[in-house]
Amino acid sequence: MYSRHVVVVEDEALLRDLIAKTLESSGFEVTTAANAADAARAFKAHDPDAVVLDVELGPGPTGFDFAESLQKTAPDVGIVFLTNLPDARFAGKETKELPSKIAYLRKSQLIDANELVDALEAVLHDAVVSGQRHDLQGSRPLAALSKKQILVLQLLAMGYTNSQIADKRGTTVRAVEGIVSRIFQALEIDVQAEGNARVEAAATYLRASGKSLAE
Amino acid sequence: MQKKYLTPRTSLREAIKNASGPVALSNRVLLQFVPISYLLVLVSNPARLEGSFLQWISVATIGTLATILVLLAFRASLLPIYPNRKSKTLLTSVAFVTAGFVRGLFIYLVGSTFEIMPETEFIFRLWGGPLFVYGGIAMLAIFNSSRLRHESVLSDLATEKVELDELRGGIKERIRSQRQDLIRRVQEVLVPAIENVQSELNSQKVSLSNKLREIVETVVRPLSHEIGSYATADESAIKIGKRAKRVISKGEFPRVVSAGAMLVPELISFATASIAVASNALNFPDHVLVTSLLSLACVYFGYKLIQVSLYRFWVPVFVAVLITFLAALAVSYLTWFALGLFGFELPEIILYEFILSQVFIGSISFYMQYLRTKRNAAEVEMTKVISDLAILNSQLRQEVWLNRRRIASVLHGSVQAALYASAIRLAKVESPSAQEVENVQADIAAAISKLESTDGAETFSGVLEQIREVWEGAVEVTLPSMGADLVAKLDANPVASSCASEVVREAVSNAVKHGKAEHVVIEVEQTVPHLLGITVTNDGQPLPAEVEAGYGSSILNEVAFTWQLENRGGFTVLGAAIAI
Repeated sequence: MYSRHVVVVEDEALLRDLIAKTLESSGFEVTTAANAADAARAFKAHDPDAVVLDVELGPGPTGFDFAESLQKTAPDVGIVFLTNLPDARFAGKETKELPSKIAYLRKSQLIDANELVDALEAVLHDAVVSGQRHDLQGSRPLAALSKKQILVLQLLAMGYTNSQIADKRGTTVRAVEGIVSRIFQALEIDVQAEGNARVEAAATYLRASGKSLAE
Repeated sequence: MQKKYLTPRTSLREAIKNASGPVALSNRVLLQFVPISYLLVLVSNPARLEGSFLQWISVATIGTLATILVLLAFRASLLPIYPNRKSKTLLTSVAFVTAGFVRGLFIYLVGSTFEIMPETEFIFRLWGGPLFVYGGIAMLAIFNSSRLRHESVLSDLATEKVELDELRGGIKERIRSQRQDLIRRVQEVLVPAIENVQSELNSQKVSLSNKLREIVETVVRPLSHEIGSYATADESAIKIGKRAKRVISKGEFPRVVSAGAMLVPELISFATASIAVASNALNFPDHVLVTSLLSLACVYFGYKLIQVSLYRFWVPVFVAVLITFLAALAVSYLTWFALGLFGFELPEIILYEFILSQVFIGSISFYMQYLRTKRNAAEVEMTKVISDLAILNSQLRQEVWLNRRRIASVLHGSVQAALYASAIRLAKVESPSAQEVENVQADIAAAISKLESTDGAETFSGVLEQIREVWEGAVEVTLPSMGADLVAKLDANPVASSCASEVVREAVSNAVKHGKAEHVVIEVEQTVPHLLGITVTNDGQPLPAEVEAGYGSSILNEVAFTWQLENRGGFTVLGAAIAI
């Protein structure tokens, strides 16, 4: 007999099924959803205790959108984000904008399935520990950069010039130059060294984001 | 049916502004005035007065020089020329009248010196000089201002085209770098995966490794080819560029024009006044006012009647020229007949001179209107070129964005998920069987094969429904009712459909998260042939500036042709146009 009900929201069938089986074997009743709308329907039908939520769910609402909606309609539901994104900044959000009392796990660091089960138990008992917030770890990629710096770096990686970035952000070129300079400093990129510092910064962003340009 | 070339309507206010603007005393206008000045003296005088051709050439030269020197004096003192100088109607009029007065005086004095100018001409010269200078220079100023404005507009449009071309070049570069990025990424994902799985499966080392390497070859190359297929879009841009070049270099010659629009009664009357009043002063010294009013009324209303009657009469250019000459002839006879009716008989030679002047003035009017028509056609065409190019650029940006999204989605969704799932699954078994290894290989291959496929993309209507369902209970989202044609058009265009979906998703998400909206209304309509208009209205607070300039706006910049966020009647409204 299952004592807790979990909805797993993951657009990749393979991973979704694997997570479901893992959680079922750990005593959870599991309903799966391929996107946020499926998840919303599952919530209506089952009124679950928790959700394991990917952020990128293909076209349509993201995992962050669904979490925001849950905060308004079911604030007592435990949320475990299971995603490729190092942290919320890579989706243009501040970490503080995420719902409180969540767990945030990066897929790349999740080899042991028990880690996910532990995170679920933690959100269900309001006992999330720092190890279950991969988005707050100091070792995560580009941890030293602010959200604003991430956004500028993102535009830089998209090939925009300082002037174009200033135009998009509604600031001056001088202000952008300052931000870019501080980004180089934080990433320890030598602007005097051979090669293009902007290219190196862009490559660093792409590696860190674990995704393609501007995604 | 042949294309009709519209002639812009004339504006009296604009004409006055141009006649008294900085162009009026420019070198170009003064130089153009010289032949007209000579022509008038040489046509109107030798036929009715004594004197040799050389003597009249001398009179014309002195008269012209006197006129221009006075105008130059005004230019050097009270009416300097500099860019964006405001029009000075009163002062410019004083300059014209003074120059005309001096002209008339000098023509009279030089003519008297040659003994070819009777004393009775004195009043005529004092009337005629100012009227002629006023009419002549003002007409030239209007003409040149119009031409300069046209050149300026075309220059601005050409600059805009260059900027758009540069932007297009940037996008092409991004597509190229995207391809390289893709290859690098596929390898980055697969190589560690091979090593990872190899470490788990020593017995299958060779075959699995080869299988995965094969995938790189079979996946990366077709995908590179697909990205390279943007050549179609480039060809369209080249065609558009050629159209623009044609417009700038010579423009399109209007072939079918409105016969009525080629006549400008106001301008013709104004120019006629500069000659006719003085002529009346000579022929009817005691009835100058009556005869002038009568003749100008005949000219104005005669042309006006013809203009209105023929405004919707579209004819080839040579027919329009013929009509203009016939109109000049008709109006001349009408004036001559009307003056005669009121007892102001004129000799036939004056009638012929009047016909000649009307044909001349009518020709100028025609030429000016023809040029305006040509300019208008060029501006319309150039604007269309810019618009087409901008839409094409927007479509290229959309393709780049969607391509990125798809590559990222597959590589870091399906591929990574397959690898992680395989790794987790294999970690559970100590010695995987051949079947389990095969399953792992099949999962990874299936995930990577998605790179080649565009199937499974959600439709725009589907995404809208998803958005409504996700926010249900938290926010009331009202979806648009779209016609079957529009739905079919969007379904057939996955790129535009995805971009439109992203705009709506971002707008609703921001409205709820930052604006604390409770009700969001989405409207969609096709505004113009290649643009889809999306309006998302919400009852929340306006977005703070830092959000406007942030992530959401960068997505909008990427995928939308244009977009704006505004407060309207207490609601926050995001309007966006998507190229389709």
